[in-house]
Amino acid sequence: MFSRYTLRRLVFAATTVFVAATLNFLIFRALPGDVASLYTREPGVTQETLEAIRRQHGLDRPLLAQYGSYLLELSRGDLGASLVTARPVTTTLRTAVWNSAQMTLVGTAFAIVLGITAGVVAAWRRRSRLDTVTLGSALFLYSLPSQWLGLMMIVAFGAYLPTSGRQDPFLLDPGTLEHLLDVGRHLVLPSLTLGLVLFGQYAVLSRSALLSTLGDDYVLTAKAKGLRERTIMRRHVLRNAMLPISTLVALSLGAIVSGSILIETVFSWPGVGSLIYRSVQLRDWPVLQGAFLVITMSTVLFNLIADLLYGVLDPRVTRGTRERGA
Amino acid sequence: MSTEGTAAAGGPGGGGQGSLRRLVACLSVAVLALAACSAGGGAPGPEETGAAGDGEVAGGGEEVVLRVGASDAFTIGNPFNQVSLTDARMRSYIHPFLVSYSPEGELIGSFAQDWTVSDDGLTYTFDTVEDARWSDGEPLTARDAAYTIDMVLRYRDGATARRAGQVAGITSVEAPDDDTLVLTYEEVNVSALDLLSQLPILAEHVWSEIEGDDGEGLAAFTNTDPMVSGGPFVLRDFREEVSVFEVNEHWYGPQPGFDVLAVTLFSNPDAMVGALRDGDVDMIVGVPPTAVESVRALDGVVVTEVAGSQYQYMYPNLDRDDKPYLLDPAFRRAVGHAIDRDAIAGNVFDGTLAPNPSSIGPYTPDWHNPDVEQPFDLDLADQILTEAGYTLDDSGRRLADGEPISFEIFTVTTNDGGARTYEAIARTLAELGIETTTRVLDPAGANDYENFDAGIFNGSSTMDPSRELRIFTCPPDSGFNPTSFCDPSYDELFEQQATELDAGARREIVHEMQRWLVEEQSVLWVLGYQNGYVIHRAEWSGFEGYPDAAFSFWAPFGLLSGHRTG
Repeated sequence: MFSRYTLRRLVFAATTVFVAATLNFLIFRALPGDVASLYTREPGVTQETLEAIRRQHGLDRPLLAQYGSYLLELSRGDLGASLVTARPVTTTLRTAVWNSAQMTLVGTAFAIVLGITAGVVAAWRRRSRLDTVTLGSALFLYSLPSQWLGLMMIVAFGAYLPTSGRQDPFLLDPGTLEHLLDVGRHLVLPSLTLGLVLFGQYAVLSRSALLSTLGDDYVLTAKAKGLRERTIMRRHVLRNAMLPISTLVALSLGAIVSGSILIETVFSWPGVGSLIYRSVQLRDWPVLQGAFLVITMSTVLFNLIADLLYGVLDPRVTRGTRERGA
Repeated sequence: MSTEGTAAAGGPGGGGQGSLRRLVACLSVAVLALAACSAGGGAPGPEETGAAGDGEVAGGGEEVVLRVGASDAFTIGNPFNQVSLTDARMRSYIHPFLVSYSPEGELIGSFAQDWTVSDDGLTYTFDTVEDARWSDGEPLTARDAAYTIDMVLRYRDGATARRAGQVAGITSVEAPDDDTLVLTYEEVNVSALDLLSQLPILAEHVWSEIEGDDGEGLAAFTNTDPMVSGGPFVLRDFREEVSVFEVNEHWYGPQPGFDVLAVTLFSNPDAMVGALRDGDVDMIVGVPPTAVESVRALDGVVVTEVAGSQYQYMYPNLDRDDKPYLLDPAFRRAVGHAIDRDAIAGNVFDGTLAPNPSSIGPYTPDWHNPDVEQPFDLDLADQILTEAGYTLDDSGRRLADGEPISFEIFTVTTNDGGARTYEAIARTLAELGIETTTRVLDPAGANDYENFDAGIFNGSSTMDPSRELRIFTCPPDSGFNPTSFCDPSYDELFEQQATELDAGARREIVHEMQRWLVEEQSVLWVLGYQNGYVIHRAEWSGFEGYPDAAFSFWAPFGLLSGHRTG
């Protein structure tokens, strides 16, 4: 049913998720302090108070016992409850992932479309002024710190567009369209910031992929046969240059659920990034474990898709695997 | 063979252009689908908020909304689990308290209209508000107060540990009728009312149902869905980034000057200031000191400065036997004279810090000792060090037992100005030949850092001096003792002031304790007190801020007096 190549990828993905789940459990406990530490300086709090808080959250149990409970809950799809808000992590994460996905998808889509277009145009008009401007712009935007760009967006457009949050809390019983527009207005600045930062990556990669393909022999043959440059680009060069671009797109989609900590913090966008930032400060281990597990699974999934996609786009990959198997 | 076929066979794969079109098509559909689904309830959409900042009609009437921007979000209405500052602030607005503080800093009655104290100082009898009700219409009586105190005492080693200090020493709690509460203490505690001002009264008919075995149910209770409130506000709409509260129609106290309170999270202070400038919020809290002047310059914004309870301080670890000079009061006094508080206040905090060496702040004039001083004087510091045996070697390094003195001072990420304060202190200590290093920690890491030498932190002083003075008593009664300082003679003074019923006599003891802590022992190097700022749009007025801000957990009534004029 599945090829050897596909099976190997699936097993690798499952192993990666298990290892990531274990690392998620351990890595946050390596940080100094825990949720009880936050209350240390409150008036009247004693060492007994802190121990009581730790008992309350089960943090006084041996590490192995905590790990066992964690795996058992994971097997049931239960990510536990936040040590800070007492709400189920699943509920909190679902909201945060949803919010991040909206912002990141729009920004990434913008970057993909604009970046690939710019890369194609730059490669097509290579060594021209247009190529220089495009490449220069891409590198400049790619090098900008995202949080700085976000702040500049607030300064420049703060009077015209919302600069924080995801929706207007005072919008009274909006209809679907009204709500769409409200969320859309709030989406503009954060997703534009993300898109501009990512644009450079796609533009440079697209340009490089196309330039590499343009130097192949079959392209020279096509030119010798008298085909127009536009036809060569559209029918031959783009097709073959899409391999690395498709892989990058697939990998970028894996980052959609992780959001962007810096951009979400600047715009107070209630996504996974800002949730992780707050949870690290508050040592909210269940939320951090859940968030990083979701991010890991998303990354693994889209890596798997990218691997499988590559095998489809380039049959030599799977053919080589079958030949080695024989 | 066609050209296309040759080309396709000559290069890797085929259909890449079709892949691109399909990919773009899929992405476009996904974007539209996500946005549409977000309207359908895949993520929490707006529920009935019922009001708008500009007074739009809601439910048939006009509502006035006060929109507050804060640096952290309201997360939970459970006083046993609250973490954020906004949670602490909102505690004062959703729960009734027996007593509270006025905007002038006076202890006043709230749910307790009046009270008497027995001659021996052990029994407090409170007359509570008659015919009061919770937001769900159920009676709010002295029995709820009795239940709360009894519940906190029952689970003080577990679920209610964080509030246990507020009922410490209570041996008996009774509500002989709906409007009378009687508390009996084990020993005299002149700070009892101050402690009760921080203990929220909980609805027995709600909390008794969720207690569970050994109070286990208390930890999981969010008290947001729905919220039963006894304070001036009740939760109407809750989201991670914004929470909307409306006036509790059954609130027994002074009526707020507005109908709805909305608290919005701004992770980025620049965005918060921008929102105030653009009129997207009406008031902001938690502005960094370095941003105050730029906020003051904004059109249509009013900034009122008030005395603040937040203070900056540096403290040594007196548990470091390997650094005996830290344990020497003479060394600590010299360090105190080497801190240029005026320069730090001006250069680091832009004039928003009022230099002062005492841990009992000037915002409580009854308790603050204005005569305590520790002037910046490097010559005096050098003299103290030399006389104590800490001489300079040939290269100008200060020695202790023949070894150069060097210690680490940590700062905390959440303390605005902490790192630059360290730089200022390090410079002046270097002039004395004392070398310092630094590291940066987040609050949880700082609280967990046991083997530190010294640290720079910010804290919040309190209205009653006992809480601040207690932290220098010997463990375990001290609670958190940042310096590990322990001196039985100091503990004796603390016990004296804690049981002294005469206010004047108590004041003398408290003044003496401050002098001793600063001028003799120099246990804590307090740098000064950060001003509080009430920052709001000019269309609003009437806010009273004491201390810190109008949106304060100390004196919540300062917010209620605000009203819209424009």
